[in-house]
Parts: sequence; C-alpha cells; structure tokens
Amino acid sequence: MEPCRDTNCSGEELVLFHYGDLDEESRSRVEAHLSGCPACQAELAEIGRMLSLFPRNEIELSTVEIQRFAARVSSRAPRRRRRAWPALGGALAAAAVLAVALLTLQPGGEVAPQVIAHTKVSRVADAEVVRNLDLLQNLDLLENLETLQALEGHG
Amino acid sequence: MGQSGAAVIDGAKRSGYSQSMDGRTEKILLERARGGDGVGFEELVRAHTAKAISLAYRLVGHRDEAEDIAQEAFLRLYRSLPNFRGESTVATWLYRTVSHLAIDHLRREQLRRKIFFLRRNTGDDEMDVDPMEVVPDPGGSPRDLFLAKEAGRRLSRALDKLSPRQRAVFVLRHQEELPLKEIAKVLGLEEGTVKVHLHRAVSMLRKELKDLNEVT
Repeated sequence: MEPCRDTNCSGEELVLFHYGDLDEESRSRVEAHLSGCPACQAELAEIGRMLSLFPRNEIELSTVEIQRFAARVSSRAPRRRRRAWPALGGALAAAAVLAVALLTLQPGGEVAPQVIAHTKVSRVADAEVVRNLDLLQNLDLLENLETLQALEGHG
Repeated sequence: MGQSGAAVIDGAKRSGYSQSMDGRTEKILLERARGGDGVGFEELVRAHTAKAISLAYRLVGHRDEAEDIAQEAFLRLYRSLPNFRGESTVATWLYRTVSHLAIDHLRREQLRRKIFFLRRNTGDDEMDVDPMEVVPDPGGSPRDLFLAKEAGRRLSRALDKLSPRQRAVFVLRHQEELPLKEIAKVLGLEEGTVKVHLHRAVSMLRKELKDLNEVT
C-alpha cells in the first residue's frame, strides 16, 4: 500500500490519536482524514497491534514480601532523634547535674555524704530499670535515664 | 482505538495502584516519621511498596534492580522528610524519584553494555556474549519465567533499544497510563518533548518488532 503523503496527518499524530492524546480540533481533523485514507487506517491498526504486544508487567507482591521489604528499608534508614521535649529535657538535665555538682562538692574536692546517699537511691532505681528493661529498650529516653533520675532525686 | 480515562497519579483512579492511604493518614504518618518514629516511616513504606517496585520494574525490566531502585527512592524520601511539606503527595514524589533513578540506571546500563561490546569487538575480552543475555534473572517468579520466553525476550530487547528517556515516556504512557501532562511533570520535560519521545519510542518499537507484528 502506498504510504500517505498528506501533511495533515503525521506519524506522531497517529500515535497520539491511538492514545487519545490529541486536542479536540486535531482529533476531528485526523478522524476526517482517516475515513478516506486506507494507508493511515492500516498504519493506525499496525500501531495498535504492535502496542498490544506489550504486557503491563505487573509485579504481584505478597503481604509478606511487602512487609519484608518495608522492614529492610526501615532498618537501613538512619534513625532520627525525637525532637522537641527530649532535647529540652537533656538540656535541663545537664543544667541540673551541673547545679547539683556545684552545691555538693566540698572545697577540698571530697564528695559530700548526700551524693553517696543519692548513689544508693540510683542503685535501687537501676533495679527497677532492669525489671522494666523490655519496656524501656525502645525509648530514646533511655540514654538520658541517669540524668533524669538525678533530676528526680533532687526534686 | 484511543485509550480514554488515563489515570492520574493523585486522582481517584490510579493505574495499577489502589489508593492505599488517605491524605489525612499519610500526613499523620509523615509527621510521625519526621519526628523520628521508625514505625510510622515503615507504615508509609508499606503503603507505597507495591506501586514503587512495580513502576521500577516496568522501567528497568528486572525484579532485583527494581527493588534496589525502590529502596533507594524510599531512603531518599526518608532523608527528605524534614523538607517534605506536602506540596506533593508521597505517591507523586515517589513516581518522580523512581522514574529519575530508573532513567539513571538505564543510562549506566547502556554505557556498560557499550563498553562491554567495544571491548569484545577490539578483542580485549575473551568472552563472546553479553553476560546480561545469558545470566538468568534470579527473580524466578512465574511472570519472570514467562518473560524469559522468546516473545518476552524480543519485547525486552526492543525496549532496550530505546533511549532511557524514550523508555520512561513509553512506560509511563503505555503501561502506567499517565496523561502526557503528568509525564511531563514527573520527568521535568515540556509536554511537546514528551510527545516527541513517545512518537520516537513507538516508531523504534515498530521497527524492532516488525516481523513479530506481521506474524500476529
């Protein structure tokens, strides 16, 4: 069949026509042309046939596969620290520790009896921590636990 | 003839993508993830995994590579969380990132093949064949096995002949059924350029599959 020589109907327009991507005016023009042009009709049919060969290539992922993938990605993402109050808590704790240290240290450098008493309290608190370790393991607060306990001990 | 009702990324109708999460839930999860909640981020990943891997697979044609690309896109999303202010949805963001990562991957792959064949033709390498042609895809799903058959190989090879950008445009239009405007947004191109790429892609595929098309 002789190829179409009509400049009103380009190969690009036939492809866009196939996908329904022509604007109203161009679509009407191509439709009118197609009705009287067997070469372009054959061309359009061939485009459609060739494109129908391409499958959608869908991957079907099971729930387990999705969960595994998500867990893998999540484990590779660097952990971000919780914002706002833990940071503020850390700053407050540091300030409190400093204040306690200044108040309790003797001029000669000896440690005051109150601090020894506090250490005992801390050990009791540590025993509590061991009992609740599972619960606390995942909390970012754990890293500030000692300073928080110090704060708690000094009201 | 013409395909109507093309899907849009953020619209109710999404090609191959059942909307797995409403906007409000997504915002909450984003906020949690931004605050350092790993579980929130994981939920976000779970909701978009199927779509991201499927898109990457269509673009590069290999399951393992598709998973690597999807993973990299999610890690980039994680790193971008502080700046992610909801101008686009996670789906749109992933579409764009996966597409760009896939195009980069295809470019590297084409370069690698060119270098391989150049070495082979100049006699620097003793091997006769491109290892990509003989090493089976370790994916091994029934779909992969189907694709391993002759017709599937012909289609894959024909797709490999396209430039990475032509391939991306073709996949996004033909398989993802995105409108040209959305493709232009995703790839950062002018709509006219997308049309040109689509036409060139279809012309190249017709040329490559001429005999196959005549048989059918």
